[in-house]
Amino acid sequence: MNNQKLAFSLRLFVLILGLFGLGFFFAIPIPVQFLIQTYPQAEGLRWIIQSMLFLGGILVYGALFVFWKICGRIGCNRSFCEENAKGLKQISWISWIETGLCLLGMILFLVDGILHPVLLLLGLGVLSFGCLMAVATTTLAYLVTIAEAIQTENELVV
Amino acid sequence: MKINVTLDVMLAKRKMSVTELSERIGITMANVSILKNGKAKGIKFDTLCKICEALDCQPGDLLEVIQE
Repeated sequence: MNNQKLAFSLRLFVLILGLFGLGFFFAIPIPVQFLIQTYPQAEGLRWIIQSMLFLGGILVYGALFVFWKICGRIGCNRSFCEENAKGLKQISWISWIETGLCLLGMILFLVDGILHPVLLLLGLGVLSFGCLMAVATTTLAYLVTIAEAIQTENELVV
Repeated sequence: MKINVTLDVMLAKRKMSVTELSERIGITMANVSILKNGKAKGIKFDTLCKICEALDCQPGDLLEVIQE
């Protein structure tokens, strides 16, 4: 598979994920409503919960946008470049912020006594995935930086 | 100390242009220019051999050690 095909496949994946994500934005009020029906005392937290979910979704779109640009550079045979390393670091930061948001949400639920076991499981899953993404993208960013240096050095060996 | 490639001197002695040399040794003009301008980080033995063959010289005629 050459770089152009890989870039096309990755961008297609981003597009599909983005389209599915739109459904997420429209569906946010549904689980929130269900949570409030189960825990009426959470009514006061409705807008906070919806805002946090909305913010989380926006951050994911931010990460997808950065990844879209990385795919563009891969397609132009610029896989190992400083911009890609920076992009991966940005995605890492976004992952850490998402993980922090999720943790904050879980603490909020716990304090208000509305941390349903299903929510706990989901939250732990999101936390784990977020940490994994953050660490993986930071590592990738480091490797891309090293690879860029090696590539530059190699290009100057005639 | 660094290695200086005196390709331009040898090209002048042999009255050969960069274009002609790149065509003879099968290396792009961009790479030959990198060598000529001292921006190269290294040279493969294969490349050095081809340049010596094209310019009828020894590696020592192309490379010199200079104080920075």
